Amino acid sequence: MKHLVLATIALCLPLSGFGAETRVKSKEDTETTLLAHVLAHLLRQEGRQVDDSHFRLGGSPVVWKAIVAGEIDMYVDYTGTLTNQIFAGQGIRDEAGLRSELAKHGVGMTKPLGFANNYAIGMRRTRAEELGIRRVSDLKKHPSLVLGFSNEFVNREDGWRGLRQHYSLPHANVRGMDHRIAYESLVAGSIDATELYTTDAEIRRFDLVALEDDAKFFPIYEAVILYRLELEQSQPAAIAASRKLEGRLSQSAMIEMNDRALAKEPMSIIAADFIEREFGKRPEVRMESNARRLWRLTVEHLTLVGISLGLAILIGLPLGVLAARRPRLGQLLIGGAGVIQTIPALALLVFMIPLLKTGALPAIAALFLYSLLPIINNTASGLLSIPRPLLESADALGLSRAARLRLIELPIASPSILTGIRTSAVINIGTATLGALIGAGGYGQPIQTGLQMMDHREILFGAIPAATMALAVQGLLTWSERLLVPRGLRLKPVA
Amino acid sequence: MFDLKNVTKLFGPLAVLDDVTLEIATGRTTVLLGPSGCGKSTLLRMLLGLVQPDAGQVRFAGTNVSGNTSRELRSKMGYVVQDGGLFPHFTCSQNVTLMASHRDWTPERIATRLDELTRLARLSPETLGRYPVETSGGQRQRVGLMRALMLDPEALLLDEPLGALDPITRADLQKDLKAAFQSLKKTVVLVTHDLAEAAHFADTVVLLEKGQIIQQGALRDLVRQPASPFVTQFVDSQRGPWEALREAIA
Repeated sequence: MKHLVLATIALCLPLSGFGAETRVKSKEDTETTLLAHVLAHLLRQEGRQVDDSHFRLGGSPVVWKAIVAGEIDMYVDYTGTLTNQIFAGQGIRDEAGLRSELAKHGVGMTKPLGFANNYAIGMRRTRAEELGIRRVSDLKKHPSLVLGFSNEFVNREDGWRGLRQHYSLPHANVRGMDHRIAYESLVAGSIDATELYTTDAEIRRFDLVALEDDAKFFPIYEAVILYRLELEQSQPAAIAASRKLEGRLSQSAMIEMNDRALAKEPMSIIAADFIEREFGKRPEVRMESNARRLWRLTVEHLTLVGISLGLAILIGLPLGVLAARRPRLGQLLIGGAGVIQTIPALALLVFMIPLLKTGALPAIAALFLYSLLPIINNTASGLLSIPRPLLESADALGLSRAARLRLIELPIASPSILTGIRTSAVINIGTATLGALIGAGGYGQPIQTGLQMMDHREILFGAIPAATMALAVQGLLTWSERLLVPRGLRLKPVA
Repeated sequence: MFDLKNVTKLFGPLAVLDDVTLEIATGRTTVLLGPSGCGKSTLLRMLLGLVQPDAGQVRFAGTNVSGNTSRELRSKMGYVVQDGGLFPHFTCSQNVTLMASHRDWTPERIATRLDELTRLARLSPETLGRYPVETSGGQRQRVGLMRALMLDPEALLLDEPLGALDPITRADLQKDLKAAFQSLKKTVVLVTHDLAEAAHFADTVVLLEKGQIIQQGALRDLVRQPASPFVTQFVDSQRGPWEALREAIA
């Protein structure tokens, strides 16, 4: 309970940029998360404090919005992502153009870190050699090849659509599938080529080749560190630390790090090894024990659930009473809460970002909205199902409206109300795992990380406690009915 | 005690009570009699202010019964519905003493009154500690009567108090109710569709049909000098099991 209170206070304080902390975050993918760990080690060596307990904030747009809003200080992105996604359609041609566009948003950029993670078309080495294919233009001579791309790539202008036009490729047999499935299909031989990222560890592992982009179609995706320009004054040491990485990450070093991450080595250690080799000084690696991590995730998750559910009870109960008293308003209320329920959780979370930024606050707001419907609904239906003779008896006794509600109606409706709260709690605990997508922490964090890395152990590290918590809370609430529901309502009638 | 003048109540286009004028005498038992849907229950609920008339006036001891004044007036009336209308989350004794506690009576005063009523309603003390679901229909009705009498009201209003009971329980309760009415000497208004019940309780019978009073007076007069063919029809339809039995044996 004390932890909950402390966590609540911490949540209410705005994330501050003061003091010795530099707020580093990353996108969801393995590579930029690894680089966030590298950056964190360097910053610490410069005397800065970095919280590396959860780097992954969300996709590019989410992290970009967070840095523009000043909620985070630094993250790693790619020049190609910035020009083609964040600033799409603005015709940015070179590094100088990108730099000045970033500056308009108060964001600075280091020089490229060295490697580029471009799109490329990949084939198995043996298959490519057998057909004599080295360049993308060589594909034209083999129109019967089966191509499998990620669904995103198939539809992107800088993906298959543009590529086909640019090279006049004749292939008709093109399938959209999951990126990872595409890799597996390629290895199994059921497709001949797929798109790669040039630093994917799978290239080496599965002995693939990246075909040469001889007509220069794919944009360059060079890794850069983005930072708030304001840091040049407030945290010069942080800027200095990030500049150290400029040009220091070779293609092969990045592939090796990705490969080790694919083998599920802890990212913090992979990053420390790189720094020791490149800069000669090994950073101290502080590994969080599993028990500590589980405790931290549990506190975070309980905070999300506890505050949002508590608010939903506080607000939902009176709304439920109102809905029962005024049927027309009630339909509106229940309908409105129902509409919220139909918005996909992820979409609702993203809607919250412009209003409440990232982190726990928008997640709590979204969870609160999700929890309302069962509580309003069950309170209203519990009150409305009280037989009329009972209400008339209460009126005939001369009880006031308020006394009737407090002494008669709410106690009689309490089983229904508690069922609503229980439903809300279970939905809430499950949905709260999505909070990790906008940096709210909790059990969703290992689930998201695990999904990104296809790491089942990591997924279960979040999923099992989440399920356990749902069961435990359900059990606790069922047990509490014995205390809260009057005995006379729990007895079976005598025959 | 009660005084109704030209009272009309509409539910949609239908007049449940149609220009009813009625005086209910103090200290006597008046039975509102009639087939279902005749408006007798609505009339009773109107006396309590649970239903407001669309036209006309209802007065209780000279005071207008309306939405605002009726809460105070209601403490001077006791109301018993079919099956008791007990609150399931309170024990029987909590049901009875609810309003007294709400009005901050002292525990001693509550205990004394509870004791009196337990004897009057001929209820065993251990029943009082039970929840309504743990009791029989007859016991619930007795508790309902005690609850209605707790604050010692001037009038007692009962809506089909014997409706949901088996014949033996019914006969017992009927006898005890009559004894209670006689010892209390209160104004009693009782709603029923049962002629025998009316015969048992009534000083005055008010026969209703389709929202109108067809005839009122002693039951004897209704049988001997029916005001309309409906009265005869209503009386004949309830000649009771003895006649039916006699016909079956013959």
